[in-house]
Amino acid sequence: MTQPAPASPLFWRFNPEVYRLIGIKCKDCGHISYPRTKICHECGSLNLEEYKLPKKGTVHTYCVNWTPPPTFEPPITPVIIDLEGGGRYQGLMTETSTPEDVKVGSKVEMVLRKVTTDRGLNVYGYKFRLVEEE
Amino acid sequence: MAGSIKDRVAIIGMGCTRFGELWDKGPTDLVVDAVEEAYADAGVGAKDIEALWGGSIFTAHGGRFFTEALRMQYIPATHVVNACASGQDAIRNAAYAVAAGIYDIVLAIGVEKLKDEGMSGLPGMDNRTHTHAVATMPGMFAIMATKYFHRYGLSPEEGKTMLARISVKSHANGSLNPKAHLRNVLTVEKVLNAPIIAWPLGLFDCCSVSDGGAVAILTSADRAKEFRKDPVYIKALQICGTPSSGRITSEYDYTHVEESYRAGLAAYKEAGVTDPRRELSMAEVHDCFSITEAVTMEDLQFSPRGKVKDDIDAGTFELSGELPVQPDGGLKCFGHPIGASGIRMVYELYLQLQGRADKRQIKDPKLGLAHSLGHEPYAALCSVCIVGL
Repeated sequence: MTQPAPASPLFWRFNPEVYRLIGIKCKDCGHISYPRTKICHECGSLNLEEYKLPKKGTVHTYCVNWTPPPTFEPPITPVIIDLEGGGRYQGLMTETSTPEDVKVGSKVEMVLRKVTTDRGLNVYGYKFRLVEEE
Repeated sequence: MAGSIKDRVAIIGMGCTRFGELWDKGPTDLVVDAVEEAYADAGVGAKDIEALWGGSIFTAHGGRFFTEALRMQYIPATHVVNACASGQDAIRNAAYAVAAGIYDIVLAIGVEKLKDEGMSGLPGMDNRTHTHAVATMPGMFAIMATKYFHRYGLSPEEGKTMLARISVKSHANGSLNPKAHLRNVLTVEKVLNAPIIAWPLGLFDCCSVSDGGAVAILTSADRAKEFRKDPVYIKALQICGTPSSGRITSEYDYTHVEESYRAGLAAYKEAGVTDPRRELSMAEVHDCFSITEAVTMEDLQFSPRGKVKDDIDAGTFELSGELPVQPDGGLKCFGHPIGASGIRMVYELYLQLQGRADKRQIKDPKLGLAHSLGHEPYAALCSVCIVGL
């Protein structure tokens, strides 16, 4: 209930959102949405095109979750990321030495990682790591 | 809109079980215990009920659950599933059927036997991609606290102290309520030193996971005084759905819940309320977490944006304050059996309006507001129900 039933990553690759990071961009107003919508959130248009997400963004907000769902080792650091150019991604931080390294406004980049193991299958997904300010 | 529910439907009886870890009860017990209290309160019986609506997320599977529990003989029964707003949506559907003139006397029920689900806290139920699944309910609301502190320049200590005062207030109220799950009194220090659940939220920032049931008996305003001298009238029933904009657009700021604000606007319009802070006598809001109550005070226009801390520090929302909030202890202490919560809130408003709230009694209340927030802050479904004399 708390997670999608695990399937082989081979199958999840067919979903444009999960690994290929395809959002949508409205051809009429330019609004970018990720996850994808069938109808433009901004203007209601159905005239949409695929949009490949950038892998860089900024931490909009976060928490340090000491009581994560089963199969996760605490603490985990869920983040809401504003992606460069538009679109939001809800994910987890990785490769932080301590959760205190994460701040509102931290610059991050997306990397593919094993998220957890569920019912015997590895579940892969994108996580975020801190990048140096340019 | 062509119509309004204001003053067309009355509540003539209500019941509510004690909330808590009720391992000695089953789901049927909760429904029957609440309904029997309501029957006695209204002076009606099972034979008078013409239709029912029942709100529940985990416990019921179809309207049959309710008719089976109540041994109801072949009446229309509908299961209402609308996240944490299920209870108030059950009232809304029941009230509309009465207002339409189809039925005279109906039940709106809410129930949840949450402990039987084997969870220590509500899981995140948003499973669209792998990464969404890593959120828990405390986590999804904790990220709102982080952002609120950041936006309004509160240090973590200042922010957590502000939130702690909310929990201290709710526990003080809950301690006066014999039906509340949690009746212990807290101090700010104890809240601040509690184990962290999802930083910045600690144990006492989170509501309890409880079993419970609640019910309202509704009839038309015209007939209400046949049943009792002090019926409570429905002034507004609004539900605000969501395009889940916070999920996809960076414009959503994580320091408010747009759907709460919009449901409030619609309800104030329906009830004819122009200055909610002054016109409302009390409110029961969806305090699933302390931060939720804080932003809801702003969303419902009790406090200006970014300024709820001033009102919390001034004691505005305490039982003796200008606008008491959670007089019964709220989700925090009364408990949060999901489907029952929205009706439990109305139960407290009902008792208060009739002067039956015992040690929690607010002086001479005229109008009360109940608010439920379903799903997550960035993609919520909210209800606002206003009742009065």
